[in-house]
Amino acid sequence: MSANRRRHANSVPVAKFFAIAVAGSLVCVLGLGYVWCTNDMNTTGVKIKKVEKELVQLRQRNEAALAGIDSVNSTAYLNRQFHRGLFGKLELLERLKIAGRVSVVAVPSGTGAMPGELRRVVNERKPQ
Amino acid sequence: MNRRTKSRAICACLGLVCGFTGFSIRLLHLQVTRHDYYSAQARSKQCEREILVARRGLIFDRTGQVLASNQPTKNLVVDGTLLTNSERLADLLVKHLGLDRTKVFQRITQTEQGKRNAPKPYIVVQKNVEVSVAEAIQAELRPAELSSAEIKKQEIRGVSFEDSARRSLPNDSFLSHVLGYVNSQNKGVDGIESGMEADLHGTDGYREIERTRKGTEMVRYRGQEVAARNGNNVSLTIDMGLQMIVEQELDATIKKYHPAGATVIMMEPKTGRILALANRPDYNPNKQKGVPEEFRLNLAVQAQYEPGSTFKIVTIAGVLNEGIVSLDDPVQCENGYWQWCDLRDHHAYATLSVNDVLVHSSNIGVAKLASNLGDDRFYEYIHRFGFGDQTGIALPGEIKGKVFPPYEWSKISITRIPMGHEVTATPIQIATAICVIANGGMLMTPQVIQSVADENGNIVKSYPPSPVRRVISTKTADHVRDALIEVASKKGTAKDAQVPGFVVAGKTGTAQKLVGGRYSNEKSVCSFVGFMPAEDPAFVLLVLIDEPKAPREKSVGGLVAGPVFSRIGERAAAYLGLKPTEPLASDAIIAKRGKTGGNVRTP
Repeated sequence: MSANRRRHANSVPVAKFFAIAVAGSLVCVLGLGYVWCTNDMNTTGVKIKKVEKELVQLRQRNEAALAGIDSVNSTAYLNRQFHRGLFGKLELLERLKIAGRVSVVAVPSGTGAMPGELRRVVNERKPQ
Repeated sequence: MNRRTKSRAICACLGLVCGFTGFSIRLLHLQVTRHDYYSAQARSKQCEREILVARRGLIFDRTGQVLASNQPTKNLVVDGTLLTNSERLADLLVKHLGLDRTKVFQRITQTEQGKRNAPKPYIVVQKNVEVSVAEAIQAELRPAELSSAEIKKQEIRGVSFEDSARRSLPNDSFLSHVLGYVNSQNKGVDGIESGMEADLHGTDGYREIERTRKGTEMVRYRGQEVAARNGNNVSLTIDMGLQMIVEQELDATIKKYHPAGATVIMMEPKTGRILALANRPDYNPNKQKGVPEEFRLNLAVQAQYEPGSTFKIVTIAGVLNEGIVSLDDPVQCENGYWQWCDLRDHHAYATLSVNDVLVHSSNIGVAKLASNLGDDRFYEYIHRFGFGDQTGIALPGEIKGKVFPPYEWSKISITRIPMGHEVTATPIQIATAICVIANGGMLMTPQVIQSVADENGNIVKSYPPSPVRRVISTKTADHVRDALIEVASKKGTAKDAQVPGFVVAGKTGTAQKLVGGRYSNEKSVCSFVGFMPAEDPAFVLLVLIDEPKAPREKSVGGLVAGPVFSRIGERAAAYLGLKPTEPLASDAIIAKRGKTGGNVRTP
């Protein structure tokens, strides 16, 4: 066989192998990318779930606090506290007690109420 | 290849082909034919619908004070199949919840019915645990300060907390009959909680979710989500400041007279709005256990009484409106005893004017006036004033009272019904009837709800004043009012109902009760219904005391209910900032000082 023919016999198809390698790498990258994205979605989902749980807990604590505020704002509670003499600076109301009957529940001192003045207190609660 | 080898090869191939064909058919059957069935099964195991619970609406008074709210709580749930360290869990629950240890341990280790070694997968150990307590228990389930080996040993598994809520009424027993309460399913049972259930309840939402084999939600596969619509908030016409005044005075009256029951209603005559309503006996809706059923009865709308002399207003208004008589016309009062119908007056009067018939509460006088009116017209006026019909108030269980038609009356009914016997009425009917006089002749529907708003504060429904019909002319109402002013004067039966600085108009009522088919001398219903200031009434007030324990001669409306009206009226006038219309008479101050022994606030 001539030298030239021997040189070109059994030659390696580099271009073909290169194309196969590139295609294979692409498939691997895509596959890995898919796995990474799926994992990332799962992790994000776990974080979302955690944040949602915290939000629910915060809302519950908020509602519990509001219920507590409603309780201490209630007419019955304020009336009980007044009759126990627990309003501290509100001696004013003690002097104005008319034989155990008091119409106005609370007048905080330092708000401009004149001695002997009775003022109505209105509880306001903005809608949540 | 020889023949034998060839045939073996063919058999092998055929065998493989048949095998794979069989597998393929089976695969096709599972994946295509039974696709829906198996995918539904898979979905049922992993997918579920998570309910998003709606928050129940709040109830406010007219000033915005919260009367009913929601306290978030947790239900402590144990999965017996996963539970570890049950002894330690029992100790923890005793420490935080104060439960009995033996009972708790039995509860958390209970097994399925009929199966000895099968722990229950779902055990509710305690409902409505405070959120802070639940968090404290949660923190101690897995002690963090120990080494990981110790943690594994001491960790309590199988315990979880479900979100829940408990209805909270911060004012305890105040307004209990109006507000009502909710049951364990958070559904309204009585009062406004029941009547406005559709608005308060809200609509639960849902979310389609998918879980892993271990039960963790896969958020990325979340499906359809419908948000919960929280319940609407209801604003009442009640003013808690006035309610407190009414409740306190009612408590003082109960302490003094120990009656079988009592009701006070305060309402605006021009609009029909209820400002305060209280009954005794009452109960605390936050503590339902052991409350007798009769304590839950809203006497204002669910109890009926013979109204007694307060009913005389109907006859007087009727004869004046028809023009049969005028206020000054004389009426023969038979010197206190009318023989043909065996009817007596408390005092012997020969003749009284129509005005004085009401002022002195003459039974004979009013019976004669009703006879002049006639059965049919009198019956018509009874109905026009609202008796015998529901008033339409938005509280459940309202009864109509009893008004018999004329064809069922006896010969002497025309003399008995005008003085408030042989007829029964609810307290709300009596209060609504006096509003007709106070507002110039219109019958109004009593209203306890002002408006309904969504959670953002947008008004969804409003309840404007609802007039029912004109009962009498304005002129007639003015005449009757003038007579009622004299009832509360020194010459009338309700001197003790006077309020310093204001003109009061009203009528006393003392109705003996029927016991064993006969009217009792020991048991009576004492009432006073009136309004002030008489010329431009700010409120109508009914005080009704059932069977007060007082000496017989003092068991009358003017002496039992009148003073209660006076005390409530004075405090309510101060609360509402009403300007006195009359100068304080010096004898009124002396009278007040004598009663109270304290200082008097000058208006």
